[in-house]
Amino acid sequence: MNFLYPDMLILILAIGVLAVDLILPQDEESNAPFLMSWLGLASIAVILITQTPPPGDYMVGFGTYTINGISTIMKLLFTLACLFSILLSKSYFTAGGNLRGKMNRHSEFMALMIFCTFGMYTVASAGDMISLFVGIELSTIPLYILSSFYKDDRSSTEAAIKYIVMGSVSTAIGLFGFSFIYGAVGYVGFEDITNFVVNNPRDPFIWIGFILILSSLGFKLGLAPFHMWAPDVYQGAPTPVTTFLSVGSKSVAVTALMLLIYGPLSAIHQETNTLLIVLACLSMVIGNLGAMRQKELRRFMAYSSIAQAGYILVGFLGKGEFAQSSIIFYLFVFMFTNVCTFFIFSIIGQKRTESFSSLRGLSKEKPMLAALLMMCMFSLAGIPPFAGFTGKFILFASAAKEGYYWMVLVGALNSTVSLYYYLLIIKEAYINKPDENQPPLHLNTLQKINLSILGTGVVLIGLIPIFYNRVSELVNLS
Amino acid sequence: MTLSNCLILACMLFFVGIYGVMTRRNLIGVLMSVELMLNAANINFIAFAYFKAADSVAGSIFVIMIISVAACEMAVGLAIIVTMYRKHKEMDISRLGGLQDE
Amino acid sequence: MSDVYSYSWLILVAPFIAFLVNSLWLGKKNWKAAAGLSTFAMAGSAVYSIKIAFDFFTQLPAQKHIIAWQYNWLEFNDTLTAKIGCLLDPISVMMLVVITVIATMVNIYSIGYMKDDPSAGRFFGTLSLFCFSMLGLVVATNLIQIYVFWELVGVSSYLLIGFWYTKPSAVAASKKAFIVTRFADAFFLLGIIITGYVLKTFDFIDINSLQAADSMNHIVSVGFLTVNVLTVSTILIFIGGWGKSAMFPLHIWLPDAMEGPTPVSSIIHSATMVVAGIFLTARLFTIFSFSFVTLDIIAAVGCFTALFAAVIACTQSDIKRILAFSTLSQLGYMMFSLGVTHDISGDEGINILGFQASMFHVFTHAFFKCMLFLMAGAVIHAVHTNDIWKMGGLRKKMPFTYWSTLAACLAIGGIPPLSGFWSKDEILLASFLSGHNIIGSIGLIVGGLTAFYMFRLFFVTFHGELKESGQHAHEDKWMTTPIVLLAIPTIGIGWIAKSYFLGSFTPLGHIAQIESPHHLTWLPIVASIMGVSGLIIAWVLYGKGNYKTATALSEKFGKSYTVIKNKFYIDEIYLHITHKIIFDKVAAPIKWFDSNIVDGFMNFVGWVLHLFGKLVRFSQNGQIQLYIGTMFLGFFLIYFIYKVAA
Repeated sequence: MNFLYPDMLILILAIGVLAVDLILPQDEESNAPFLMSWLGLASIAVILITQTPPPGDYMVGFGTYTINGISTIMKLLFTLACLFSILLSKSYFTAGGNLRGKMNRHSEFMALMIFCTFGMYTVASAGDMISLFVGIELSTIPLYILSSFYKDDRSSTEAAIKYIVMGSVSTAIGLFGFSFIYGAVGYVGFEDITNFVVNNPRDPFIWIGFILILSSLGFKLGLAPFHMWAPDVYQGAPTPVTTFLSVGSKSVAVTALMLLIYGPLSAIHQETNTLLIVLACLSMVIGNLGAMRQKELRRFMAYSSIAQAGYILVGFLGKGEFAQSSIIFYLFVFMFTNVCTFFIFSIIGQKRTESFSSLRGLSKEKPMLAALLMMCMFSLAGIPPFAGFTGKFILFASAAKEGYYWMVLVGALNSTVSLYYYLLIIKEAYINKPDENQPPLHLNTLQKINLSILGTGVVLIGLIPIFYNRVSELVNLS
Repeated sequence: MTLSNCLILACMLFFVGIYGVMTRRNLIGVLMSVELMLNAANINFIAFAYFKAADSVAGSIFVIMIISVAACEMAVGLAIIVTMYRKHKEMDISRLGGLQDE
Repeated sequence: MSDVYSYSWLILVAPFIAFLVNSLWLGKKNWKAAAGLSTFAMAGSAVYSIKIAFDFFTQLPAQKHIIAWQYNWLEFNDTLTAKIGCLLDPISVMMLVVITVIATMVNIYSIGYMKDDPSAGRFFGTLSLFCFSMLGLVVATNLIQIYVFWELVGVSSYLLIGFWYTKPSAVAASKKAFIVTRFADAFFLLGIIITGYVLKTFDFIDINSLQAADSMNHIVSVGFLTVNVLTVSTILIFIGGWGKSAMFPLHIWLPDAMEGPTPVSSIIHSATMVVAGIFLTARLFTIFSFSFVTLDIIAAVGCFTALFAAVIACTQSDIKRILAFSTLSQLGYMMFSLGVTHDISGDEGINILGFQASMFHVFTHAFFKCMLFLMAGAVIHAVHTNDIWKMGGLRKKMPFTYWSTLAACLAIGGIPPLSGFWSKDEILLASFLSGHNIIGSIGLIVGGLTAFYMFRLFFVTFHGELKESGQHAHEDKWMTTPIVLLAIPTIGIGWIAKSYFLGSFTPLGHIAQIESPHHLTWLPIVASIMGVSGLIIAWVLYGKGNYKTATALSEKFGKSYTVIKNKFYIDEIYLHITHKIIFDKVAAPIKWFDSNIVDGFMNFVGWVLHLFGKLVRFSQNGQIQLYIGTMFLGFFLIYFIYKVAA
């Protein structure tokens, strides 16, 4: 039972954060929801770090909810993503914390974030298609609301509309896919589907269902050609939401895809790879091409994340525990690097627009911030010794193990192209002269602490083997 | 009535939904078309549960889940659309081009 | 194992600490202290390296290699582990000495060079990082470690070349260097991964063996291609070295990299960065030697680059660019020397003389090339221009620099008994002994060209009339000291070190060697003649810049005027031949080819990428219904692929 504590605690936490709003006097400046949510999330993270689930699957409710090594490590990832996004959002609820204005109702905001995290937990623990579907929806619907949190800002509302319209279309596509798989198998549990697929690897319903689900998950993961929502939504949504979207939502889709490909569909892994290769190549190429001449930072990060999704998909070509641990490890690397980058952007965004030109002269103004930004960019481009290199290397290695050498070359060449635009950011920060008219930047203690934690992560995760070994240990348990 | 009839109906409904999503200018209309697509999936589930599936209860539960989740989704969608209309006086999907690459 | 080896991590740690302290804290407070720290850290490493080298070469271990220490870093699975360690064998010990000594000299020099720069502290920090990464590269025990440090060298060179980031050309150059080398590294990475999976190991000691070659030497078909795994993976790995060592056509970044501060150019060109490619090839020499195709490619690429760069160097007027192309040319020597080790006639084993000669040339070249760049920096510092035609007559103003440069020019020109002669002679010997006569002859010609363009530079810069810009030239003591110090190895190290290189330098692992006579009596003579004739042509064309003497002579000996006139006439012929025919008909087109076709192709690739980028951005027009349409198209695309594949 105690393996379920994190899941229960996060639900209680979400309700608690909402309730605090009712109990406390209507005082917008109260710190209570913020303190409660980050302390709560941090303690849940600690529980997840210390917890080692028993080998095999620990089932709850007739197999609809499963706890194993993979779900534990993924939950840790979701919790950390939510935690850092909430820490990042703090300044957005204080006056003058952001150029786009001050957000209100922060207990609602944080409760929605935590509910969303609970949805992600459900995906990680899903044992059948129903809980998978409910989890995906529970992790997406709060994000629709969160992206429209700047009610007075037209672009925020526009982003939310784009997101919800396309999101519900993708949900419908995915559901249509689930229905075909249900039709073919007659059951919704993953174990039944596994048995069916082993015996009928070429069943057309399974394939149509899988392709529909892949399209739907491709949308969430931001894979080309299902990526087109990403740049617009990333740009329009408030930065804390964009952070959570880029890390959390992507990881959920990866988790779901992993559940399917390494679970029920593992018998047809060889065949599904053909489709994944196409999507991976398209995503890498389109993401890299789109990122080249961007001027807006969050939009830029959207394209960069599309390309990153392509790299992650390369890892899916591998088989077994090695591939899974490589993907999960890369998600951690990606989380630390992306959140750190968005943190820096949010500091820029306090007084300036979040665009390339606002980065000018950052190295003169805040040398440590500029150095951190450079580290993040190098990590995203996959340059040793930063975490991005180790992550990418293991991903490529897992694909190469199955003989997909061409994909390794495509991935490596694409990361060379990506270096070009990541260097553009560094160029703005280091080379261009600071703009005299730009208002100065300030960092408070909270931001400094967070940035140092994230920066340490970006460097150390790739260098110190403990992290990868722990991931691989937990993956091997399940 | 056979399984294939139901599946054809679901497919048609799905494509009608796609057509609606891609052609309607009004945001409410777009959401309604999405609802059609979701219902196509529902019909599929019910049809499979009725004609074929060994575990027919699961299909029915799935449908109930879909209906409730879709309700949530539509509620949120409508709320956002209402915000758009009240704050920015906009209901036309083709005029939501504020966010784009230059 | 003796303690001297097990503490060898100190060599790496010292510059790394200097980097951390300088870039995080000390650099901004007090650049002099930062410079002192970096210099002392490097000097300490240098002393320790020399101690290791002394111990290593006096008591050569039986296996000829020692793993001083090694830790497991990442365990991918049971068989595949990435390690971090320190492998000491003749070439890595030699590189340790070269890197630390050169870096110490460059650090001392930089104290003088950077004294007016506001961000000198950052410079010394980054320079220490650069040395640290190169040191980590040479002691690497396995492919993963070498790749990590390889990229780290790339990162730190990016930071150093773009050091003057207010200069747009410097920024463009640093970016070009980074991206071009990383392009090559994509292939290198693939090569590493293939090797790792086929051999189940990344360790150099295991890779460099007959068993490894046997297990790789089989044919597989990849898609529509049928390839030999050994050949493909060695070529892929070599491409990494191809880019880093700036072989044609990936050489485009090196001349531009001159935009960095001169000490940086000096260290890049002599001991770090570009030598990394040669080092990689030498490190994996045993496995490479099992694939003659790879060796042939190495030889061809190296030989072509040597000739190509030497010809271009004759046409340049920027002092640093001349030196940059000369580096390219010398790197070509080192590269083809590694390639010509197999007998051209057939499968008669490997003659490791080429390997030894290549390493020998790396060693001697490091000293004189470093010194030449330091000289160039000193001259530029004194006259504030890069153009050699605006210099002249600096001999009187900078006597120490003058004499040291003379030694370096003689050395690079291959004039006996200076150091360059010995190593170059061995390279040529290796080519002729293994029957690569064409490559050997090209090597001889390039030797002549080298002497010509180096002495052209020398005479134009130091002889002739003192120009306007040189009136206030003087020598800075911090900058002159390393130049003079480097003159010592430049002159003497060749014949001292020769026996060590030919005696104890063997590649890692066992190779079926053939013994061959170590002599071709005519070769040193011909090589010297080539060098001397290059020198003389340069003297005739450029050495008599002292027109005062010429006019005085013509007035004094009025009757002999015609004779002088006649001699002038001979000069005209020379000029006609060299300028009109060689320069205009041969060198100029090659230069044009280099700057338009090779660079142009790279620009074209960039343009195409931008065009497609425009297309992607154009489709992102903000219309939801277009986006949804694309989603459905995507779905049908996947479905179609499924149908085709099934």
